[in-house]
Amino acid sequence: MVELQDTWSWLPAIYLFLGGLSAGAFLTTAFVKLARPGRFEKTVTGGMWITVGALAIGLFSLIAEVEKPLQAMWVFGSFVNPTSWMTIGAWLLLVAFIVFLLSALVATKPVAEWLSGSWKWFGAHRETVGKVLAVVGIPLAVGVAVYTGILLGAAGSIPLWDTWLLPALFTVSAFDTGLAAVLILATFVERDEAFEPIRSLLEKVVVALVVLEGIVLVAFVSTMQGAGTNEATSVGILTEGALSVQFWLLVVVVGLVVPLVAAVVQLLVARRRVDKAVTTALPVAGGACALVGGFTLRFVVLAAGLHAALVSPVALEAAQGISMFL
Amino acid sequence: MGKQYGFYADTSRCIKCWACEVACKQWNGIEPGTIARRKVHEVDSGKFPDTHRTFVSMSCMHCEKPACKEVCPTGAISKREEDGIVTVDKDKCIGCHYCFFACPFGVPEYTDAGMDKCDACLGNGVKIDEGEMPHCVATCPTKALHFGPMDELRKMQSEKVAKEVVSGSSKPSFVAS
Repeated sequence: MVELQDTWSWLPAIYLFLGGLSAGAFLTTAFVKLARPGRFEKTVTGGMWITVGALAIGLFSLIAEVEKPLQAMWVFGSFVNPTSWMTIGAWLLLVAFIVFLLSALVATKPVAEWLSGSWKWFGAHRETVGKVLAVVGIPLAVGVAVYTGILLGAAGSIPLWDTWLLPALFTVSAFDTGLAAVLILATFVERDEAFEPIRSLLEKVVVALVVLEGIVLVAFVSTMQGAGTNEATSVGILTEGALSVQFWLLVVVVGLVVPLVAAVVQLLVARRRVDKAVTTALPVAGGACALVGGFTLRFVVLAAGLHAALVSPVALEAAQGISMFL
Repeated sequence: MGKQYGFYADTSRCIKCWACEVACKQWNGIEPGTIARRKVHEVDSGKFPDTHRTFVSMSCMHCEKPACKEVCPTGAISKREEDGIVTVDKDKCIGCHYCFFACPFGVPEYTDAGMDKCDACLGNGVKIDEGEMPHCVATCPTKALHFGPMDELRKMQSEKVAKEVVSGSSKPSFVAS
């Protein structure tokens, strides 16, 4: 039996999940905001705070993982080596967090009104400031989503992570989980009739994202199966080994199939008038399942990331090869 | 760059007595039950009754292009100009464990103080530039473990069938025979 990777376990998995969710939630909220400026205030405000809250908890999880968390929080002193992707990521996360936080504050009515009272210019330009922050935040959010995959991919000696398909997979899943979180929120707080066309558009995006995630996941698994013994061993943990139940049940069925079915059913019944309970339960259930799948995906990919030296100890094999000649 | 120093493990001489591991722990003040900078590995080969055991003592390979140094966000890992030894500044290290995922050999280990690995005994005062040997080498009773400039190590075992351990682009400074 192969031992699972446990140098990075739960806490980084929470970061990878929440960092992605935060990025996806920001993109969704920014889209909702820019689609109909001034409308859907509850969804926009809530979405922005989901973005900030998720990233804050994610970053705390990441920092809690290191041996010296306090030292790590001093970004200016600790993240200084430009050849490391983690340095680039730390700075990206810092800037993104500031922009997300400002977006959330500007979108929050009491804060914005208080600020308008004491700062005339802001009062006159609140809507523009919000839009600028949304536009600036979009590339940052994409960066945050992609970086969750790059962080693992750039490490170098973990065969399972050493592919551009991993950033692709995590990015699609990030958009998917963030969208799911905002849609759950909107189901409860948004009473504006004009949100319906937006909701139905977003449900179509859910379908597209789930299908895309399925394709990337198949590409990831099959690439790994064909890439070599180390890669095949690692991915085998997911498809038939110690984590196969979590992978097939939680990632594939709960995380992809259920949200897909929920979104499709919702699009179909939206044309007819159905019970309100159904139109509430479906998006919430589908979204919640997408979140469970998203977290499990990060967790199993981390845990199955066996170190190349442990799967196939090159140095030992070389020594063994020599002993044959003696 | 000056000379590249490295280790040479002669598997035809090693008897797996662990003296190198013990000397390493002792001289570097490693707490019991924590980490090991040097480990003696055993490789089994062949099929019964024609079996063979090989022992090889390994630690940090002091690569020419250290992958750990590349990925370290804090710049805590450096490669010395004069002898090519890869060292860790524990004050800078935040213990993020990223170097473990980068090292082709999974060498880095961690304590509360940060990443810990072999520094060829520079940290405990061994003067390798004056020809002194790291304690693992000095203590090896069978002379299976050697340390020195790579060109000398290669020459030392040139009569034997030797093979350098090369993995990817990091160019480890380690030979075994």
